[in-house]
Amino acid sequence: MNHAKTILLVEDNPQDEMLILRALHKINLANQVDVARDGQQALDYLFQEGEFAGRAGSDLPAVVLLDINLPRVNGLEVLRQLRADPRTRLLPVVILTSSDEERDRLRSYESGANSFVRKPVEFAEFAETVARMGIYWLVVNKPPTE
Amino acid sequence: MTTGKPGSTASAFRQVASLLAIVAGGIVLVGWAFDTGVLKSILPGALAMKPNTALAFILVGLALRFASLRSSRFGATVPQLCTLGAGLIGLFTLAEYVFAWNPGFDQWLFREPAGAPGTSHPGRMAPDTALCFVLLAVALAASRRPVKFRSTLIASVALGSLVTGVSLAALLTALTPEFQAHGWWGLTIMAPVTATLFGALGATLVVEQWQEASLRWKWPFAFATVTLLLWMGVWYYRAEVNRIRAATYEEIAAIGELKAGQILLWRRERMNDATRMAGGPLVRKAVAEFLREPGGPLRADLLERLRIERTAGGYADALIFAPDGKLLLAAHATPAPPTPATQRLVASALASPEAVLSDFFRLADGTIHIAVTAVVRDTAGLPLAVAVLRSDAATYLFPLIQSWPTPSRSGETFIVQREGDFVVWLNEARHRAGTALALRQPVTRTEIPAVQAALGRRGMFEGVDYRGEPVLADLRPVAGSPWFMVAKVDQAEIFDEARSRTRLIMLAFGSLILLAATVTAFLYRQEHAAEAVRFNAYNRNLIEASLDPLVTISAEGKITDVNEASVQATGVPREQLIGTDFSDYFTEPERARAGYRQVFSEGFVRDYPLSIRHTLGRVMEVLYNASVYNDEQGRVLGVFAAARDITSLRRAEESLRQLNASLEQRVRERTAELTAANQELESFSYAVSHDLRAPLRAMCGFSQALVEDHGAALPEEARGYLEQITRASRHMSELVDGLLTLSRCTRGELRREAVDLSALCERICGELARAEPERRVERRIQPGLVAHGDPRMMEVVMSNLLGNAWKYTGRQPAPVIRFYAETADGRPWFCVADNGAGFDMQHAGQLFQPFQRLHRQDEFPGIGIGLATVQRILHRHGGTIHATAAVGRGATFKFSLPEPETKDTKTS
Repeated sequence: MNHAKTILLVEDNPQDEMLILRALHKINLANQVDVARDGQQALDYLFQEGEFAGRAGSDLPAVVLLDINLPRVNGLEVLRQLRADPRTRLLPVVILTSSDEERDRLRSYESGANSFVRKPVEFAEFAETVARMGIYWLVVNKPPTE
Repeated sequence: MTTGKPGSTASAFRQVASLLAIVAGGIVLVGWAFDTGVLKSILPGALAMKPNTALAFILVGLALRFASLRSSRFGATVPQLCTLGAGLIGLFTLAEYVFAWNPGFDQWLFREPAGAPGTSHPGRMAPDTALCFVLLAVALAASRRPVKFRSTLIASVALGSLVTGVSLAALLTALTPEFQAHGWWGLTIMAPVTATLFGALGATLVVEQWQEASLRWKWPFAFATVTLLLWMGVWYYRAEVNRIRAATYEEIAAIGELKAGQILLWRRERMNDATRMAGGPLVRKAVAEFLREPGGPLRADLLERLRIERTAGGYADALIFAPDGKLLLAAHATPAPPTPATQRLVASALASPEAVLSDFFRLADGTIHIAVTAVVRDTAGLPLAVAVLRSDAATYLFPLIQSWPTPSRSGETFIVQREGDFVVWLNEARHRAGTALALRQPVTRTEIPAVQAALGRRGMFEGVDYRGEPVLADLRPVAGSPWFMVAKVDQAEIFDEARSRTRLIMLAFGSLILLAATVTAFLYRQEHAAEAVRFNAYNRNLIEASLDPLVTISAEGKITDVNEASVQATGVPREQLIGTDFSDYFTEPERARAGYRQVFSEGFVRDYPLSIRHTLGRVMEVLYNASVYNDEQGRVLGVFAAARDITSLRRAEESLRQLNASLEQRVRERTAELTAANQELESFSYAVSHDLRAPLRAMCGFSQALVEDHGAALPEEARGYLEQITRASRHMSELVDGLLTLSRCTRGELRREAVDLSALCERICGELARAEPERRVERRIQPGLVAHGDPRMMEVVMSNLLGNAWKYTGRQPAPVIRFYAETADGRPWFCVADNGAGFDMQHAGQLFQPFQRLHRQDEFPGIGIGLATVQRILHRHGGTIHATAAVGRGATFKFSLPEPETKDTKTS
């Protein structure tokens, strides 16, 4: 499986989506971002099912930025299914959420999240977090090869 | 008398005694009225009862009789007056005696002529009679006091005993003839009938009080009474013996005196005979002549004279001896040959100027003789010859001594003489032959009356005679002789007489003691029988008083005895219960049978549960405790079973159990409410921390982005405004955190009341329709559905459910919203149904999670909090909600609320 230098952002809040995309755009990673707006869409995208069946560029993204609170299938369920599937078993998943609940963090790591990042309310902080995360996962991190 | 209980022994005593007194008194008064001796004395030949005595007896009898009828119209007055009257009669009579006073009181009823037997003052009762009446009156008065006052009790018994004792003494002494002649100090004597009546009345008092007396002094008293009776008997016996002894001595002393006188007379006559024969001058001349001429004519004359003397004096012989002792002449044709005694006789005669009576002497033929001698002297006084008159003692003297003038078995008189250290019996004893001159006793044997007599003792002497018999003797010397007279009677004879007299009296005493013992034993037994009856009744009352049904069962399982509680438990009379099968009275007869079989096999059961069936149908839950009971040999006789009613216990247990159940239910409800509240808080904080921040972040983010991307194009003022937005967003973030903290500390109160959900439903739908007037939604609302809950919260529930239905039917061309009730799982459910978008049942689990949505914002807007709110409200009420739906075919939400427990419970 090839690892294209793309990011899958799973985010149902359009404003958060805009702000994340803007932050990635500032570091020239915006053209490598695909967006899913709910959990089911994310799964369909990753497994090339539903509306994404036979999607062009069937490679998996370098990293999935996954919100927890998602319509239809929530983030943790998405993560569980990804880890249950051999194709996405090792796919890096970063939980990106507004929650600062200890419970959510614990459940995320238990479900196999690679990282847990909280969205700050403060814009500058938020932008910097997203930028560093994008650089890290797309540039610094060496994913496992199978 | 306060004590006689009807039907008791004492009461019977009282009736008899009072009746006796009244009847006897009446008879005697009639006797006096008609001057009939038998009626006056009642006992024929006995002393008569005086009129005053008879009257007093009637009064005492009435007092006794009416005291027992206290409730009668006589009340207490009549007995008191009667008692007072009897006491005054006695007291007055005593005063007459003491002050030697005779106001005619004794004769006021009837006149009695003077000189009546045993009467010192005509018509006056005996002094002891008067005393007895006073004592009786005091005893009666004392016994009227409350019985528990012990001193009066003792006084009554003591006085009663005294009266009985006096009467007894009077009765006894009345039997002795000497007493009948003299009485007490020569005063009037109590009549036997009077004594008998006093005995009966005294005994009544004693017996009545006896029953009331405590055991502590009963037996000492009984002992003292018996001792007193015995002592009186002994005293009387001894007095009687002394009296008889004195009388006997008087008799024998008289006899002794008489005999001694006769002997003295006899001796004198003998001496006179001898003196006369020897002293005359004719005899002197004739003797002198005869001595000169022994064969002369005077010999015949002298012989004739001797014969005359012999015949006239009743002598055995008349003789003339020469002074040398030679026999000169003898009246008897064949005179006894001379003996040494004859020689001594002649010698002693010569030595004495007077006639001499010789000692007794025995002739050759064994006969005992006594001789009197006189000397025939010449004118010069010289002895010429000695005249001897010889008597055979057996012919006259001995019979004279021995004869006893009154009939007596043992009485005898004899004379004795001292010879040196011996006392010699001179005549024949009555009880032994051959004693004359043969029986000798040494003077050292002073116990023998004859020895005492010979030693000079005179008068009465008690000793042992020659036979060894105890005797009473009279001793006296015979004047002018060396002889001593002894007159004696065997003590045995005296005592025989006393005994024969006393035997009757002892018999009377014995009978009295026996009677007293019998009465005592009878009373004692009666008391104990009563005690046993009381004890038995006490035990039975214990059994009957038990609230537990008690029952005894035979080895065959038949009921042998029951108590009242058993009758109450079964509703079956005792008589019908006994003899029937024990197991018949239980709801489970087989189990009851198994129960008593277990008792017989194991000896007991403990807390064996059974249910007794009452005839009226009610059932008593009981626990049986039972054990076998045995006879003296240890054989099993049956089962004793006691039931403990535990119906109320069971009832209490049941209500306790229900209380516990309802408590548990309430705890469950509370827990559910608490859980719901906790969940709510948790979700709220989650929402605040997660979702409320996103819009803030957007406001803040885009403001910043605007400044970054277009800051150059914006005037300074615009950049200032954006800065304000950022600041406000940051401020709101802080406010949210504050609100969150606040909400965690707040919990609302839950009010429960009836809420008309149908009406509520209509109202909310109306509001929704007014908000979107362009929509046409069909409403089907079942009227009159009422739930119990907090009205405000019920409105929230209904608003959310109906709002959702309204919203999700937005793309439906013919929307229908329904509200109705149905019953499932035994409870009512309220249902809100629509025909809108519906959802996939696969995700139904998230439906009620806060901020979980099954639809995207661009499909149906919303924040995902409504159903979570609904569920939390229902959970707080203790209710539940669930949903059924299908994608595109609408959704149905069903919820239920708990029914109110009791009507008065408005809050929980």
